[in-house]
Amino acid sequence: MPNITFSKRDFENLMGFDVDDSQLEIYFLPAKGELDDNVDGQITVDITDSNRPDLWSVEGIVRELKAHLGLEKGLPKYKFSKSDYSVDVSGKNNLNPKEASAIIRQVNVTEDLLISMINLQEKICNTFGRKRSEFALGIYALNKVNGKRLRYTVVDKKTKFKPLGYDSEMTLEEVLQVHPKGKEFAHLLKDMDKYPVWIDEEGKIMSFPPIVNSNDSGKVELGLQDLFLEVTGKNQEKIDIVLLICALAFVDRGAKAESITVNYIDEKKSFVSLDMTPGEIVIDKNKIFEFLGEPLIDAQISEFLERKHFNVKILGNKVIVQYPKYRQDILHSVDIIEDLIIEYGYNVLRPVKFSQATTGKILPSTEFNNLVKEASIGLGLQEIITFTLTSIKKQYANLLIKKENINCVEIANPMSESMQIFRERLLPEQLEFLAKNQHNSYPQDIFELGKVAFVVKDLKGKEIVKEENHLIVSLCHNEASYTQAKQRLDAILKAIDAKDIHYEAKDFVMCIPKRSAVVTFKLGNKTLQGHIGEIHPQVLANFGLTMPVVGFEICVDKYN
Amino acid sequence: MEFTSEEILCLTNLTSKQISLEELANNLAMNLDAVRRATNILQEKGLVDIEKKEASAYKLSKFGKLYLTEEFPEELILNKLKENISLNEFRKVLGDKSAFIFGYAMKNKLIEVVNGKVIQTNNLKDFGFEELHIALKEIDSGKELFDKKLIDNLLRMNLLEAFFKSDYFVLRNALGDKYSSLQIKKSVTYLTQEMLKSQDLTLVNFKPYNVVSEVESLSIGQYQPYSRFLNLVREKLVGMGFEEMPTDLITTEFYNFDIPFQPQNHPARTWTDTYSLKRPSTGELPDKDLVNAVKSAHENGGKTGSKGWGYTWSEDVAKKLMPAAHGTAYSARLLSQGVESPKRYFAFSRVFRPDVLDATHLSEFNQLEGFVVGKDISFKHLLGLLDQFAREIAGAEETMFTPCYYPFTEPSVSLHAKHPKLGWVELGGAGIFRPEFTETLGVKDRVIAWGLGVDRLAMFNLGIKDIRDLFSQKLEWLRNKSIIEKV
Repeated sequence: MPNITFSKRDFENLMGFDVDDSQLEIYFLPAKGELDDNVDGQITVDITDSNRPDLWSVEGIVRELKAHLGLEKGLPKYKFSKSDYSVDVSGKNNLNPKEASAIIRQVNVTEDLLISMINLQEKICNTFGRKRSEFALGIYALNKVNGKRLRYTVVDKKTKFKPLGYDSEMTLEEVLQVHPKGKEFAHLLKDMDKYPVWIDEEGKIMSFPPIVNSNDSGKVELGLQDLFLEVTGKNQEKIDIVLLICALAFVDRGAKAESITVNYIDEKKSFVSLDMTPGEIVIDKNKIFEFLGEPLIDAQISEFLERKHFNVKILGNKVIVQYPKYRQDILHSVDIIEDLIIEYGYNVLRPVKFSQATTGKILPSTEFNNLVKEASIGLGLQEIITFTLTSIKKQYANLLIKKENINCVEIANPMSESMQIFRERLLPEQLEFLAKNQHNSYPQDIFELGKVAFVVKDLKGKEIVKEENHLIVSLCHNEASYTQAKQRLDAILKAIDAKDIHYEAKDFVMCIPKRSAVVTFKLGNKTLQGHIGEIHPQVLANFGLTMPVVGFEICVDKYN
Repeated sequence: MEFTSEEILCLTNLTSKQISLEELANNLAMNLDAVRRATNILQEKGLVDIEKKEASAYKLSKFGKLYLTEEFPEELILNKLKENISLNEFRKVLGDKSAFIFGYAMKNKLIEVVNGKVIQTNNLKDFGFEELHIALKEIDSGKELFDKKLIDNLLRMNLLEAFFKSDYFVLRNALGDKYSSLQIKKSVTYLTQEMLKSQDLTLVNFKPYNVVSEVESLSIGQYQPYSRFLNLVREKLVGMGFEEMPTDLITTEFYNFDIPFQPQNHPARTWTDTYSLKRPSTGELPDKDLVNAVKSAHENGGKTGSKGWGYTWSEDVAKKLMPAAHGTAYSARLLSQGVESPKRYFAFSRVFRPDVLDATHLSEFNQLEGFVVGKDISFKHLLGLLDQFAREIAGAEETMFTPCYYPFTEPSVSLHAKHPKLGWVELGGAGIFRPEFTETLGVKDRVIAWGLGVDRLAMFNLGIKDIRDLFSQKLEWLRNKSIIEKV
């Protein structure tokens, strides 16, 4: 969720009145904002809606709140005039072939505005723009842009310009290697033969999107001035909205926005930017009532929706809603209904209980697992819970298992080696637990019932994941013996009504030779298996454990 | 009245006839001190009378001890020597004693020496050697002599020394007689099977223990506290009419993201936000119709009346395997398999996020999620359900609802509850599943989806500050944690 930080003074200036600190806690809720911090006049709000970029700036929040408070009603009344600037778009570009741009006049660039714009740009490009892979935003001092016929095209990688923060010219290729932003985003351009650039009427490179502006036009200084604003990206609809959201932020601070004509040369298409044509959606009145759980009169419907900057027309059973262009999150009538309920008030609605009763029950497997746990606890064992993510070293090397016998389910993007794979067996996790508790009194008799996962081959030979519920019991003390383990395994198997129990001597690398066995048994109609044995001293040493351990691990999937 | 076995032994062996403690001890084969202690207590209880008596007594003198084993000089002379023997012969027979015997005999005029010959006089006679030796032996062995003449004789011969000794004499009085039939209890430490089988346990006296002393600690077999907590929550949910649904560790992106209508380019689907698998990397998709319906929902809204996300949906992305990132994956799976209505479901699922472990973050944790499907279910029902959760599961008395956002629900709401200690706390979130989600699966009724921060609830309940302690590796803590009785 985006975190928006702004000064309280700036917020109050934009609202047009002061807001008492005591009100702030719930003030932002109608904009899905939670007050995160209010320190030294700096307010931080978490906007929980990660699909509403129009709310990711103080200007956007203020716009939403003004409607909520009834200070503005219905569709926001923005008017843009048409500038005499135009952009010609050409060239083969599969990263960011589309552009949207506008002229912003009489911008009083203050520190508050700069902070807001930098934050908005960052939030929008990172979250909504998927770290500039979907689009990127550029702001220019208009007086540094020469002429009014601009071009957005692709050029040779050897083309030179001065990137922001550098006094000397370098090729676009070099920018990707040298400039911090170049290094950060070079991967986005890796498949391209030519690189996209903005060029002004004098042929000067204005910027290299989505990487960096030029050092000349990219610097925006404090004071009254005109700006050129552009967004380049993959999807026209999306970049139009981003442009609009940014332009509105300036306009909300008293600036004037002017549209630009864009000519897609190759597609032979032209249109004018900053389209504000509202979206329209028709909702059945009853649908609103069903969602809400109670009927409303028309006046209520209109009022609630107008407080969300919607225009409403009610014709019989139909509610015709017009929503602002920037509300790209509205895909379905439910999105309108939520806004209506927010304005009705989540805490005004009276909660009701379900009218129909249902019968609750737990899964047979949960019930059975609980019985297995009960049997284990009856033997005086302490339950432990460990993580299912673990390391290859712990699961295999420490148990002396050879590399070719590793069947683990492996994470592609692990955070660390210690959480790289899913556990194939519970034993190493128990040994690690015991090793960590050697300062505690013995005997340490523990158990865990938990899931393991490993790779098996299906009938077609494709590797698939198999998950099992395992019970492991470990007895750790100075007189721990195979007999004690077998007594307990016998007792548990008897308690859970296992049939056809059969032990067969078998050596395992992690056990002392001739002191381990495979046990097979039936639970219901499932034939299951387990292992029992005395842990090999070398394995204990690998875990740093200086106390004998005996135990068993069995599959208890009677139902799964 | 309570009696020790020693007291009972003494009391039952006494009669109305006075006997000394020594004799009583002898009779009972008991230590004299023990008898003294027991009779003193019996006296305090008023059951016996004790009287102190002083009596004359005799013990062997130095000579008495000597003549225990040796013959008296008269005896020696009479037995060993012939009459009229030479002095030389006298010396020879008596050896090193000859000088003493000779002196003694001469002094007492038992012999005379005439012409170098030793002649026995009439003074020399048997004055009862045998009787004297027996008497000496008896006195030596502690027996008391009552023959006054014999005692005088021994005293005269300096074989005895007289001394005074005091003794206590005890008898059972009339009150004591009432307890004459008491039986002794045997004193034991452990009750054994043999005792139970063979003995009258009314006769057994169990040695007293120090019942307040420290003993070595013992641990009970018990649930891990977090696991116990989850079971209690599970019981609550069953009580509220919820049915448990199956979960796994690993699922496909299809269930985790695509059915819940999260677009494939959503930031939550990137490697920084969710784990993916390297081996095996892909799984299977369900039947073609369902896959195509999901594809249309994403691309253009399908038949749901939605605009859709407007991009080209890829089957290859949906096929990718991943450790489940949220429990909604299992709600999605169950809904896609078809559910009856009305129904309420819940699941505890193990979910995974690429987070670095610290006091507030786990890379792997439990989520409590579920859904309610039914005709005529509204947002007000959803609020009613959340209110019930807050009261029944979190023990909250006040609740508050705030707008929030989840990609798969609309409307969405976040539940806050007033905790008696912590103040307002966010307990969970809920919403009505988007039509692009449920209608695409052929579910006609509205479906309420909900999730509760069960890890946080468990931390409150168990008094845990560090979330890693839910999976505690500290045996001591697990052993010492008292068993919680309610959520």
